[in-house]
Amino acid sequence: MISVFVGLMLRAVVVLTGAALATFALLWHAPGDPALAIAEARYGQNVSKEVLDFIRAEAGFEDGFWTAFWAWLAPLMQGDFGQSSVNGRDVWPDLVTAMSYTFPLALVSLALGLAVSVPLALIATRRPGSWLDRGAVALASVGVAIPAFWLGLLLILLFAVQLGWLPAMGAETTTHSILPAMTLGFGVAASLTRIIRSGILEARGQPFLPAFTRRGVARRDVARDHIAPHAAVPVVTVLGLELAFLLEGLVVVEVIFARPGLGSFLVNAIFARDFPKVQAVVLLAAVIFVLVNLAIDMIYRSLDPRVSGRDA
Amino acid sequence: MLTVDNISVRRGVSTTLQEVSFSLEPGRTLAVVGESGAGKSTLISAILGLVRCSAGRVSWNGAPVSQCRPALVMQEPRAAFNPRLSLRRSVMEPVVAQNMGVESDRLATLCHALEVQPDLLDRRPDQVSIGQAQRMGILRALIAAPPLVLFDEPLSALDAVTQKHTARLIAEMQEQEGFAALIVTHDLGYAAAFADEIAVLRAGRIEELATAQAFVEAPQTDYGRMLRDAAFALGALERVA
Repeated sequence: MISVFVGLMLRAVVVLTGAALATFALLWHAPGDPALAIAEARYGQNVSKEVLDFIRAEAGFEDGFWTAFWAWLAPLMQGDFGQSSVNGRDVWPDLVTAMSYTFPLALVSLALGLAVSVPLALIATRRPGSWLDRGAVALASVGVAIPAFWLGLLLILLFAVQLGWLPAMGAETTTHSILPAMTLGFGVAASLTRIIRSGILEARGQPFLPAFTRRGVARRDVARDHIAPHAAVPVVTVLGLELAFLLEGLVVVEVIFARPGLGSFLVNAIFARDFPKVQAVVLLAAVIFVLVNLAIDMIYRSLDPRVSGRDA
Repeated sequence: MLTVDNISVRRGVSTTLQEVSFSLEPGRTLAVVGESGAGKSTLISAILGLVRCSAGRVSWNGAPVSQCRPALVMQEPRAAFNPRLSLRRSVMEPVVAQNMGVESDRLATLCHALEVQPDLLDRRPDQVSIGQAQRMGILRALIAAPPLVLFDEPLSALDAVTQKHTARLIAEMQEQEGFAALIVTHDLGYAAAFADEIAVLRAGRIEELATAQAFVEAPQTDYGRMLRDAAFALGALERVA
Protein backbone atom coordinates (compact mmCIF):
# COMPACT_ATOMS: atom_id res chain seq x y z
CA MET A 1 0.00 0.00 0.00
CA ILE A 2 2.84 2.40 0.89
CA SER A 3 4.59 1.62 -2.40
CA VAL A 4 1.35 2.30 -4.27
CA PHE A 5 1.01 5.64 -2.51
CA VAL A 6 4.63 6.57 -3.22
CA GLY A 7 4.10 5.62 -6.88
CA LEU A 8 1.03 7.83 -7.07
CA MET A 9 2.90 10.73 -5.47
CA LEU A 10 5.79 10.38 -7.91
CA ARG A 11 3.30 10.44 -10.79
CA ALA A 12 1.78 13.54 -9.22
CA VAL A 13 5.16 15.30 -9.20
CA VAL A 14 5.67 14.48 -12.88
CA VAL A 15 2.17 15.76 -13.74
CA LEU A 16 2.65 19.00 -11.80
CA THR A 17 6.06 19.68 -13.33
CA GLY A 18 4.68 18.94 -16.81
CA ALA A 19 1.70 21.25 -16.26
CA ALA A 20 3.95 24.07 -15.02
CA LEU A 21 6.37 23.66 -17.92
CA ALA A 22 3.64 23.43 -20.56
CA THR A 23 1.87 26.55 -19.31
CA PHE A 24 5.06 28.55 -19.10
CA ALA A 25 6.02 27.44 -22.62
CA LEU A 26 2.59 28.32 -24.04
CA LEU A 27 2.66 31.80 -22.52
CA TRP A 28 6.28 32.33 -23.54
CA HIS A 29 5.66 31.40 -27.16
CA ALA A 30 2.22 33.03 -27.49
CA PRO A 31 2.03 35.63 -30.31
CA GLY A 32 2.89 39.19 -29.28
CA ASP A 33 5.43 40.70 -26.93
CA PRO A 34 4.82 39.66 -23.33
CA ALA A 35 6.68 42.73 -22.07
CA LEU A 36 4.32 44.96 -24.05
CA ALA A 37 1.26 43.19 -22.66
CA ILE A 38 2.56 43.62 -19.10
CA ALA A 39 3.45 47.27 -19.74
CA GLU A 40 0.02 48.06 -21.17
CA ALA A 41 -1.65 46.36 -18.22
CA ARG A 42 0.49 48.44 -15.85
CA TYR A 43 0.65 51.81 -17.50
CA GLY A 44 -1.94 51.84 -20.30
CA GLN A 45 -1.20 52.44 -23.98
CA ASN A 46 1.86 54.19 -25.52
CA VAL A 47 4.62 52.85 -23.30
CA SER A 48 8.19 53.82 -24.06
CA LYS A 49 10.99 51.51 -25.20
CA GLU A 50 12.81 52.10 -21.91
CA VAL A 51 9.83 50.83 -19.97
CA LEU A 52 9.67 47.73 -22.16
CA ASP A 53 13.39 47.07 -21.64
CA PHE A 54 12.94 47.49 -17.92
CA ILE A 55 10.07 44.99 -17.83
CA ARG A 56 12.04 42.49 -19.94
CA ALA A 57 14.96 42.71 -17.55
CA GLU A 58 12.72 42.58 -14.48
CA ALA A 59 10.78 39.51 -15.67
CA GLY A 60 13.93 37.77 -16.89
CA PHE A 61 12.70 37.60 -20.52
CA GLU A 62 16.16 38.50 -21.81
CA ASP A 63 17.81 35.61 -20.00
CA GLY A 64 16.04 32.99 -22.08
CA PHE A 65 13.22 30.52 -21.46
CA TRP A 66 14.88 28.10 -19.04
CA THR A 67 16.37 30.85 -16.85
CA ALA A 68 13.01 32.58 -16.65
CA PHE A 69 11.25 29.28 -15.93
CA TRP A 70 13.71 28.39 -13.19
CA ALA A 71 13.47 31.91 -11.75
CA TRP A 72 9.76 31.27 -11.30
CA LEU A 73 9.96 27.61 -10.26
CA ALA A 74 12.72 27.88 -7.62
CA PRO A 75 10.83 30.16 -5.20
CA LEU A 76 7.64 28.21 -5.87
CA MET A 77 9.27 25.04 -4.56
CA GLN A 78 9.62 26.92 -1.27
CA GLY A 79 5.95 27.91 -1.33
CA ASP A 80 6.45 31.35 -2.84
CA PHE A 81 4.08 32.00 -5.75
CA GLY A 82 5.92 35.22 -6.55
CA GLN A 83 4.58 38.66 -7.34
CA SER A 84 2.25 39.81 -10.07
CA SER A 85 4.08 41.13 -13.13
CA VAL A 86 1.44 43.84 -13.42
CA ASN A 87 0.88 45.29 -9.95
CA GLY A 88 3.79 43.78 -8.03
CA ARG A 89 1.53 42.36 -5.33
CA ASP A 90 2.01 38.88 -3.92
CA VAL A 91 0.05 36.37 -6.00
CA TRP A 92 -0.93 34.08 -3.12
CA PRO A 93 -3.28 36.44 -1.20
CA ASP A 94 -5.08 37.40 -4.42
CA LEU A 95 -5.35 33.72 -5.35
CA VAL A 96 -6.83 32.89 -1.94
CA THR A 97 -9.39 35.67 -2.35
CA ALA A 98 -10.34 34.33 -5.79
CA MET A 99 -10.62 30.80 -4.41
CA SER A 100 -12.90 31.99 -1.62
CA TYR A 101 -15.46 32.91 -4.27
CA THR A 102 -14.92 29.98 -6.62
CA PHE A 103 -14.64 26.93 -4.37
CA PRO A 104 -17.93 27.38 -2.53
CA LEU A 105 -19.68 27.85 -5.87
CA ALA A 106 -18.03 24.70 -7.26
CA LEU A 107 -19.00 22.66 -4.22
CA VAL A 108 -22.57 23.92 -4.22
CA SER A 109 -22.85 23.15 -7.95
CA LEU A 110 -21.50 19.65 -7.41
CA ALA A 111 -23.85 19.09 -4.47
CA LEU A 112 -26.76 20.42 -6.52
CA GLY A 113 -25.83 18.08 -9.38
CA LEU A 114 -25.72 15.09 -7.02
CA ALA A 115 -28.92 16.09 -5.26
CA VAL A 116 -30.78 16.14 -8.58
CA SER A 117 -29.08 13.26 -10.40
CA VAL A 118 -29.19 10.53 -7.73
CA PRO A 119 -32.97 10.61 -7.12
CA LEU A 120 -33.64 11.14 -10.83
CA ALA A 121 -31.54 8.10 -11.79
CA LEU A 122 -33.13 5.99 -9.04
CA ILE A 123 -36.62 6.94 -10.23
CA ALA A 124 -35.66 6.28 -13.86
CA THR A 125 -34.24 2.83 -13.12
CA ARG A 126 -37.27 1.66 -11.17
CA ARG A 127 -38.92 0.86 -14.47
CA PRO A 128 -36.43 0.96 -17.35
CA GLY A 129 -38.08 1.97 -20.60
CA SER A 130 -41.04 3.65 -18.86
CA TRP A 131 -42.01 7.25 -19.69
CA LEU A 132 -40.29 8.36 -16.47
CA ASP A 133 -37.07 6.68 -17.57
CA ARG A 134 -37.29 8.10 -21.07
CA GLY A 135 -38.06 11.54 -19.67
CA ALA A 136 -35.04 11.42 -17.38
CA VAL A 137 -32.78 10.30 -20.23
CA ALA A 138 -34.14 13.05 -22.50
CA LEU A 139 -33.65 15.69 -19.82
CA ALA A 140 -30.12 14.45 -19.17
CA SER A 141 -29.28 14.52 -22.89
CA VAL A 142 -30.57 18.08 -23.18
CA GLY A 143 -28.59 19.03 -20.08
CA VAL A 144 -25.37 17.64 -21.49
CA ALA A 145 -25.93 19.36 -24.83
CA ILE A 146 -26.68 22.85 -23.47
CA PRO A 147 -23.51 24.92 -23.07
CA ALA A 148 -23.12 26.71 -19.73
CA PHE A 149 -22.85 30.18 -21.27
CA TRP A 150 -26.20 29.79 -23.06
CA LEU A 151 -28.00 28.31 -20.08
CA GLY A 152 -26.59 31.06 -17.89
CA LEU A 153 -27.98 33.73 -20.20
CA LEU A 154 -31.39 31.98 -20.32
CA LEU A 155 -31.52 31.83 -16.54
CA ILE A 156 -30.61 35.52 -16.29
CA LEU A 157 -33.36 36.36 -18.79
CA LEU A 158 -35.97 34.34 -16.90
CA PHE A 159 -35.14 34.80 -13.21
CA ALA A 160 -33.45 38.21 -13.23
CA VAL A 161 -34.97 40.10 -16.17
CA GLN A 162 -38.49 38.64 -16.58
CA LEU A 163 -39.37 37.57 -13.04
CA GLY A 164 -36.94 39.76 -11.15
CA TRP A 165 -36.54 37.16 -8.43
CA LEU A 166 -32.77 36.82 -8.39
CA PRO A 167 -29.79 39.10 -9.00
CA ALA A 168 -27.95 38.55 -12.26
CA MET A 169 -24.52 40.00 -11.51
CA GLY A 170 -22.04 40.13 -8.67
CA ALA A 171 -21.28 38.04 -5.62
CA GLU A 172 -22.31 40.18 -2.69
CA THR A 173 -24.89 37.87 -1.10
CA THR A 174 -25.80 34.20 -1.10
CA THR A 175 -28.64 34.83 -3.53
CA HIS A 176 -26.04 36.00 -6.05
CA SER A 177 -24.75 32.41 -6.14
CA ILE A 178 -28.08 30.78 -6.97
CA LEU A 179 -28.12 31.35 -10.74
CA PRO A 180 -24.43 30.48 -11.28
CA ALA A 181 -24.87 27.33 -9.15
CA MET A 182 -27.98 26.35 -11.14
CA THR A 183 -26.09 26.90 -14.41
CA LEU A 184 -23.21 24.67 -13.41
CA GLY A 185 -25.28 22.20 -11.38
CA PHE A 186 -27.62 21.51 -14.30
CA GLY A 187 -24.75 20.28 -16.46
CA VAL A 188 -23.34 18.19 -13.63
CA ALA A 189 -26.76 16.70 -12.88
CA ALA A 190 -27.29 15.84 -16.53
CA SER A 191 -24.11 13.86 -17.03
CA LEU A 192 -24.31 12.22 -13.60
CA THR A 193 -27.90 11.12 -14.18
CA ARG A 194 -26.88 9.30 -17.34
CA ILE A 195 -23.92 7.63 -15.67
CA ILE A 196 -25.75 6.63 -12.49
CA ARG A 197 -28.69 5.30 -14.50
CA SER A 198 -26.56 3.16 -16.81
CA GLY A 199 -24.37 2.07 -13.86
CA ILE A 200 -27.40 0.81 -11.94
CA LEU A 201 -28.86 -0.97 -14.96
CA GLU A 202 -25.52 -2.63 -15.71
CA ALA A 203 -25.07 -3.59 -12.07
CA ARG A 204 -28.49 -5.22 -12.04
CA GLY A 205 -27.37 -7.47 -14.89
CA GLN A 206 -24.45 -8.90 -12.95
CA PRO A 207 -24.42 -12.66 -13.50
CA PHE A 208 -24.27 -13.61 -9.82
CA LEU A 209 -27.46 -11.83 -8.77
CA PRO A 210 -29.84 -14.72 -9.62
CA ALA A 211 -28.03 -16.81 -6.99
CA PHE A 212 -29.55 -14.54 -4.32
CA THR A 213 -33.04 -14.72 -5.75
CA ARG A 214 -35.59 -16.14 -3.33
CA ARG A 215 -32.95 -16.87 -0.73
CA GLY A 216 -34.22 -14.28 1.68
CA VAL A 217 -31.64 -11.60 0.88
CA ALA A 218 -33.60 -8.36 1.14
CA ARG A 219 -33.73 -6.10 -1.90
CA ARG A 220 -32.16 -3.23 -0.02
CA ASP A 221 -29.26 -5.48 1.02
CA VAL A 222 -28.72 -6.59 -2.57
CA ALA A 223 -28.84 -2.94 -3.64
CA ARG A 224 -26.41 -1.87 -0.90
CA ASP A 225 -23.92 -4.73 -1.05
CA HIS A 226 -23.98 -5.77 -4.69
CA ILE A 227 -25.53 -3.16 -6.95
CA ALA A 228 -24.34 0.12 -5.41
CA PRO A 229 -20.59 -0.69 -5.30
CA HIS A 230 -20.70 -1.83 -8.92
CA ALA A 231 -22.67 1.20 -10.07
CA ALA A 232 -20.47 3.56 -8.05
CA VAL A 233 -17.27 2.84 -10.01
CA PRO A 234 -18.21 4.79 -13.18
CA VAL A 235 -19.90 7.46 -11.06
CA VAL A 236 -16.68 8.09 -9.12
CA THR A 237 -14.77 8.35 -12.39
CA VAL A 238 -17.24 10.83 -13.83
CA LEU A 239 -17.32 12.85 -10.64
CA GLY A 240 -13.58 13.37 -11.06
CA LEU A 241 -14.07 14.40 -14.68
CA GLU A 242 -16.95 16.63 -13.67
CA LEU A 243 -14.62 18.55 -11.44
CA ALA A 244 -12.49 19.25 -14.50
CA PHE A 245 -15.51 20.46 -16.47
CA LEU A 246 -16.64 22.42 -13.46
CA LEU A 247 -13.37 24.34 -13.31
CA GLU A 248 -13.64 24.99 -17.02
CA GLY A 249 -17.30 25.97 -16.68
CA LEU A 250 -16.54 28.24 -13.74
CA VAL A 251 -14.36 30.44 -15.91
CA VAL A 252 -17.27 30.99 -18.31
CA VAL A 253 -19.93 31.30 -15.62
CA GLU A 254 -17.93 33.80 -13.56
CA VAL A 255 -17.53 35.97 -16.62
CA ILE A 256 -21.27 35.75 -17.53
CA PHE A 257 -22.42 36.54 -14.00
CA ALA A 258 -19.65 39.13 -13.48
CA ARG A 259 -18.44 37.32 -10.39
CA PRO A 260 -14.97 37.61 -8.92
CA GLY A 261 -13.14 34.31 -8.64
CA LEU A 262 -10.56 32.12 -10.31
CA GLY A 263 -12.18 32.56 -13.72
CA SER A 264 -11.85 36.30 -13.89
CA PHE A 265 -8.50 36.09 -12.06
CA LEU A 266 -7.20 33.79 -14.81
CA VAL A 267 -8.71 35.64 -17.77
CA ASN A 268 -7.32 39.00 -16.62
CA ALA A 269 -3.90 37.44 -15.95
CA ILE A 270 -3.77 35.84 -19.42
CA PHE A 271 -4.59 39.11 -21.19
CA ALA A 272 -1.91 40.92 -19.17
CA ARG A 273 0.61 38.07 -19.63
CA ASP A 274 0.90 38.01 -15.87
CA PHE A 275 3.00 34.86 -15.81
CA PRO A 276 3.08 34.30 -12.04
CA LYS A 277 -0.71 34.59 -11.77
CA VAL A 278 -1.45 32.32 -14.72
CA GLN A 279 1.06 29.80 -13.48
CA ALA A 280 -0.44 29.89 -10.02
CA VAL A 281 -3.93 29.12 -11.33
CA VAL A 282 -2.72 26.37 -13.62
CA LEU A 283 -0.67 24.83 -10.86
CA LEU A 284 -3.61 25.06 -8.50
CA ALA A 285 -5.84 23.32 -11.07
CA ALA A 286 -3.19 20.63 -11.58
CA VAL A 287 -2.90 20.08 -7.82
CA ILE A 288 -6.68 19.76 -7.58
CA PHE A 289 -6.70 17.21 -10.41
CA VAL A 290 -3.90 15.21 -8.86
CA LEU A 291 -5.61 15.19 -5.48
CA VAL A 292 -8.96 14.26 -7.02
CA ASN A 293 -7.35 11.43 -8.97
CA LEU A 294 -5.58 10.26 -5.84
CA ALA A 295 -8.90 10.26 -4.00
CA ILE A 296 -10.59 8.42 -6.88
CA ASP A 297 -7.84 5.82 -6.82
CA MET A 298 -8.33 5.28 -3.10
CA ILE A 299 -12.12 5.08 -3.50
CA TYR A 300 -11.69 2.52 -6.31
CA ARG A 301 -9.66 0.39 -3.93
CA SER A 302 -12.36 0.49 -1.30
CA LEU A 303 -15.09 -0.28 -3.85
CA ASP A 304 -13.22 -3.08 -5.57
CA PRO A 305 -10.47 -4.93 -3.70
CA ARG A 306 -9.36 -6.52 -6.98
CA VAL A 307 -7.74 -3.18 -7.89
CA SER A 308 -5.39 -3.47 -4.89
CA GLY A 309 -4.72 -7.09 -5.81
CA ARG A 310 -3.54 -6.08 -9.27
CA ASP A 311 -1.01 -3.68 -7.73
CA ALA A 312 0.37 -6.34 -5.41
CA MET B 1 -42.84 -31.28 -3.10
CA LEU B 2 -42.15 -29.05 -6.10
CA THR B 3 -45.11 -28.86 -8.43
CA VAL B 4 -44.76 -27.27 -11.83
CA ASP B 5 -48.31 -27.11 -13.10
CA ASN B 6 -48.85 -26.44 -16.77
CA ILE B 7 -46.62 -23.35 -16.97
CA SER B 8 -46.00 -21.32 -20.11
CA VAL B 9 -43.57 -18.46 -20.57
CA ARG B 10 -43.77 -15.97 -23.40
CA ARG B 11 -40.91 -13.67 -24.35
CA GLY B 12 -41.96 -11.07 -26.85
CA VAL B 13 -43.90 -12.80 -29.57
CA SER B 14 -42.34 -16.24 -29.05
CA THR B 15 -43.23 -18.84 -26.46
CA THR B 16 -40.16 -20.24 -24.72
CA LEU B 17 -42.00 -22.64 -22.40
CA GLN B 18 -45.29 -24.27 -23.24
CA GLU B 19 -47.55 -26.17 -20.86
CA VAL B 20 -44.72 -27.67 -18.82
CA SER B 21 -45.78 -29.90 -15.93
CA PHE B 22 -43.92 -32.15 -13.53
CA SER B 23 -43.43 -32.71 -9.83
CA LEU B 24 -40.36 -33.41 -7.75
CA GLU B 25 -40.25 -34.88 -4.27
CA PRO B 26 -37.61 -34.20 -1.59
CA GLY B 27 -34.60 -36.46 -1.92
CA ARG B 28 -35.29 -37.07 -5.62
CA THR B 29 -33.42 -35.75 -8.65
CA LEU B 30 -35.00 -34.68 -11.89
CA ALA B 31 -32.69 -33.96 -14.81
CA VAL B 32 -34.04 -31.75 -17.56
CA VAL B 33 -32.14 -32.42 -20.77
CA GLY B 34 -32.38 -30.87 -24.19
CA GLU B 35 -30.46 -28.97 -26.79
CA SER B 36 -29.43 -25.33 -26.50
CA GLY B 37 -32.43 -23.03 -26.80
CA ALA B 38 -34.87 -25.71 -25.66
CA GLY B 39 -35.91 -23.54 -22.69
CA LYS B 40 -33.93 -25.24 -19.91
CA SER B 41 -32.59 -22.07 -18.32
CA THR B 42 -35.96 -20.36 -18.78
CA LEU B 43 -37.49 -23.19 -16.79
CA ILE B 44 -35.14 -22.44 -13.88
CA SER B 45 -35.92 -18.74 -14.16
CA ALA B 46 -39.64 -19.50 -14.14
CA ILE B 47 -39.34 -21.70 -11.04
CA LEU B 48 -37.36 -18.98 -9.26
CA GLY B 49 -39.84 -16.35 -10.38
CA LEU B 50 -37.21 -14.46 -12.35
CA VAL B 51 -39.54 -14.53 -15.36
CA ARG B 52 -43.29 -14.29 -15.17
CA CYS B 53 -45.34 -17.30 -16.28
CA SER B 54 -48.04 -16.38 -18.75
CA ALA B 55 -49.99 -19.43 -17.60
CA GLY B 56 -49.75 -22.13 -14.93
CA ARG B 57 -48.31 -22.15 -11.44
CA VAL B 58 -45.17 -23.24 -9.64
CA SER B 59 -45.46 -24.22 -5.98
CA TRP B 60 -43.68 -25.96 -3.13
CA ASN B 61 -46.07 -27.92 -0.96
CA GLY B 62 -48.90 -25.77 -2.28
CA ALA B 63 -47.22 -22.46 -1.35
CA PRO B 64 -45.20 -20.10 -3.54
CA VAL B 65 -41.74 -21.49 -4.22
CA SER B 66 -40.08 -18.42 -2.74
CA GLN B 67 -41.24 -19.50 0.72
CA CYS B 68 -39.01 -22.57 0.66
CA ARG B 69 -35.92 -20.40 -0.11
CA PRO B 70 -34.71 -22.47 -3.07
CA ALA B 71 -31.02 -22.37 -3.91
CA LEU B 72 -29.40 -22.05 -7.31
CA VAL B 73 -26.05 -23.43 -8.44
CA MET B 74 -25.00 -21.57 -11.55
CA GLN B 75 -23.23 -22.65 -14.69
CA GLU B 76 -20.24 -20.30 -14.51
CA PRO B 77 -18.67 -20.90 -11.10
CA ARG B 78 -16.69 -17.68 -10.77
CA ALA B 79 -19.37 -15.47 -12.28
CA ALA B 80 -21.76 -16.86 -9.67
CA PHE B 81 -20.05 -14.79 -6.97
CA ASN B 82 -19.70 -11.09 -6.39
CA PRO B 83 -16.10 -10.53 -7.56
CA ARG B 84 -15.56 -7.84 -4.93
CA LEU B 85 -16.43 -9.92 -1.89
CA SER B 86 -14.66 -12.76 -0.15
CA LEU B 87 -16.10 -16.20 -0.78
CA ARG B 88 -16.88 -16.50 2.93
CA ARG B 89 -19.05 -13.40 2.79
CA SER B 90 -20.90 -14.68 -0.28
CA VAL B 91 -21.27 -18.20 1.08
CA MET B 92 -22.71 -16.97 4.38
CA GLU B 93 -25.01 -14.37 2.83
CA PRO B 94 -28.11 -16.62 2.67
CA VAL B 95 -27.61 -17.55 6.32
CA VAL B 96 -27.16 -13.96 7.43
CA ALA B 97 -30.08 -12.79 5.28
CA GLN B 98 -32.41 -15.44 6.65
CA ASN B 99 -31.20 -14.70 10.17
CA MET B 100 -30.72 -18.40 10.67
CA GLY B 101 -29.04 -19.92 13.66
CA VAL B 102 -26.90 -22.27 11.61
CA GLU B 103 -24.92 -24.57 13.85
CA SER B 104 -21.38 -23.33 14.12
CA ASP B 105 -19.95 -26.55 12.74
CA ARG B 106 -22.22 -26.69 9.67
CA LEU B 107 -19.86 -24.63 7.57
CA ALA B 108 -16.96 -26.83 8.63
CA THR B 109 -18.98 -30.00 8.01
CA LEU B 110 -20.03 -28.87 4.55
CA CYS B 111 -16.48 -27.75 3.73
CA HIS B 112 -15.26 -31.20 4.71
CA ALA B 113 -17.99 -32.96 2.73
CA LEU B 114 -17.42 -30.83 -0.35
CA GLU B 115 -13.63 -31.02 0.02
CA VAL B 116 -13.33 -27.27 0.32
CA GLN B 117 -10.27 -26.01 2.20
CA PRO B 118 -11.67 -23.55 4.77
CA ASP B 119 -8.83 -21.07 4.21
CA LEU B 120 -9.98 -20.65 0.60
CA LEU B 121 -13.13 -19.01 1.95
CA ASP B 122 -11.11 -15.89 2.67
CA ARG B 123 -10.14 -15.50 -0.97
CA ARG B 124 -12.07 -13.82 -3.74
CA PRO B 125 -13.64 -15.80 -6.63
CA ASP B 126 -10.81 -14.91 -9.00
CA GLN B 127 -8.28 -16.35 -6.55
CA VAL B 128 -9.55 -19.95 -6.65
CA SER B 129 -9.77 -22.52 -9.45
CA ILE B 130 -12.97 -23.11 -11.43
CA GLY B 131 -13.52 -26.43 -9.69
CA GLN B 132 -13.02 -24.88 -6.26
CA ALA B 133 -15.37 -22.04 -7.19
CA GLN B 134 -18.06 -24.52 -8.23
CA ARG B 135 -17.72 -26.40 -4.94
CA MET B 136 -18.05 -23.02 -3.18
CA GLY B 137 -21.20 -22.45 -5.24
CA ILE B 138 -22.61 -25.74 -4.00
CA LEU B 139 -21.53 -24.86 -0.46
CA ARG B 140 -23.39 -21.55 -0.68
CA ALA B 141 -26.44 -23.31 -2.07
CA LEU B 142 -26.52 -25.80 0.79
CA ILE B 143 -25.42 -23.68 3.76
CA ALA B 144 -28.97 -22.64 4.68
CA ALA B 145 -30.28 -26.21 4.20
CA PRO B 146 -32.76 -25.49 1.40
CA PRO B 147 -35.33 -28.19 0.57
CA LEU B 148 -34.98 -27.45 -3.15
CA VAL B 149 -31.76 -26.87 -5.11
CA LEU B 150 -31.71 -25.93 -8.77
CA PHE B 151 -28.57 -26.75 -10.74
CA ASP B 152 -28.09 -24.89 -14.03
CA GLU B 153 -25.53 -26.87 -16.05
CA PRO B 154 -23.41 -27.42 -12.93
CA LEU B 155 -20.65 -29.32 -14.72
CA SER B 156 -20.35 -27.68 -18.11
CA ALA B 157 -17.59 -25.24 -17.13
CA LEU B 158 -15.45 -27.97 -15.53
CA ASP B 159 -12.86 -30.33 -16.98
CA ALA B 160 -13.70 -34.04 -17.26
CA VAL B 161 -12.02 -35.14 -14.03
CA THR B 162 -13.54 -32.29 -12.01
CA GLN B 163 -16.93 -32.99 -13.63
CA LYS B 164 -16.95 -36.54 -12.37
CA HIS B 165 -15.76 -35.49 -8.93
CA THR B 166 -18.32 -32.67 -8.61
CA ALA B 167 -21.18 -34.88 -9.84
CA ARG B 168 -20.31 -37.42 -7.15
CA LEU B 169 -20.15 -34.71 -4.48
CA ILE B 170 -23.58 -33.37 -5.49
CA ALA B 171 -25.05 -36.87 -5.26
CA GLU B 172 -23.44 -37.47 -1.85
CA MET B 173 -24.66 -34.15 -0.54
CA GLN B 174 -28.18 -34.89 -1.71
CA GLU B 175 -28.09 -38.23 0.07
CA GLN B 176 -26.98 -36.49 3.28
CA GLU B 177 -29.21 -33.43 3.08
CA GLY B 178 -32.27 -34.88 1.37
CA PHE B 179 -33.05 -31.88 -0.82
CA ALA B 180 -34.96 -32.10 -4.08
CA ALA B 181 -32.60 -31.49 -6.97
CA LEU B 182 -33.60 -30.15 -10.34
CA ILE B 183 -30.64 -30.38 -12.69
CA VAL B 184 -30.69 -28.71 -16.05
CA THR B 185 -28.06 -30.19 -18.32
CA HIS B 186 -27.29 -31.13 -21.87
CA ASP B 187 -25.11 -34.00 -20.63
CA LEU B 188 -27.34 -37.06 -20.92
CA GLY B 189 -24.63 -39.30 -19.50
CA TYR B 190 -24.59 -37.26 -16.26
CA ALA B 191 -28.38 -37.18 -16.16
CA ALA B 192 -28.69 -40.92 -16.65
CA ALA B 193 -26.04 -41.70 -14.05
CA PHE B 194 -27.25 -39.42 -11.25
CA ALA B 195 -30.93 -38.53 -11.79
CA ASP B 196 -33.99 -40.51 -10.77
CA GLU B 197 -36.01 -39.13 -13.63
CA ILE B 198 -35.24 -37.48 -16.93
CA ALA B 199 -37.41 -34.92 -18.67
CA VAL B 200 -36.63 -34.18 -22.31
CA LEU B 201 -37.32 -30.56 -23.14
CA ARG B 202 -37.63 -29.54 -26.76
CA ALA B 203 -38.77 -26.19 -28.13
CA GLY B 204 -40.25 -25.29 -24.74
CA ARG B 205 -42.28 -28.50 -24.33
CA ILE B 206 -41.59 -31.62 -22.33
CA GLU B 207 -41.49 -34.33 -24.97
CA GLU B 208 -40.84 -37.16 -22.60
CA LEU B 209 -40.67 -37.76 -18.86
CA ALA B 210 -39.50 -41.12 -17.56
CA THR B 211 -37.26 -42.77 -15.00
CA ALA B 212 -33.61 -42.58 -15.97
CA GLN B 213 -33.45 -46.35 -16.43
CA ALA B 214 -36.57 -46.46 -18.61
CA PHE B 215 -35.38 -43.57 -20.73
CA VAL B 216 -31.97 -45.11 -21.39
CA GLU B 217 -33.48 -48.50 -22.21
CA ALA B 218 -36.41 -47.39 -24.34
CA PRO B 219 -37.04 -43.71 -25.13
CA GLN B 220 -40.65 -43.15 -26.16
CA THR B 221 -40.13 -40.38 -28.73
CA ASP B 222 -38.02 -40.00 -31.85
CA TYR B 223 -36.21 -37.02 -30.35
CA GLY B 224 -35.55 -38.96 -27.13
CA ARG B 225 -34.13 -41.84 -29.14
CA MET B 226 -31.94 -39.45 -31.10
CA LEU B 227 -30.58 -37.93 -27.88
CA ARG B 228 -30.01 -41.33 -26.32
CA ASP B 229 -28.29 -42.69 -29.45
CA ALA B 230 -26.06 -39.63 -29.71
CA ALA B 231 -25.02 -40.10 -26.08
CA PHE B 232 -24.28 -43.79 -26.78
CA ALA B 233 -22.24 -42.83 -29.81
CA LEU B 234 -20.14 -40.51 -27.63
CA GLY B 235 -19.71 -43.25 -25.02
CA ALA B 236 -21.50 -41.18 -22.38
CA LEU B 237 -24.12 -43.80 -21.59
CA GLU B 238 -22.03 -46.95 -21.57
CA ARG B 239 -21.72 -47.06 -17.81
CA VAL B 240 -25.48 -46.94 -17.22
CA ALA B 241 -26.77 -48.97 -20.16
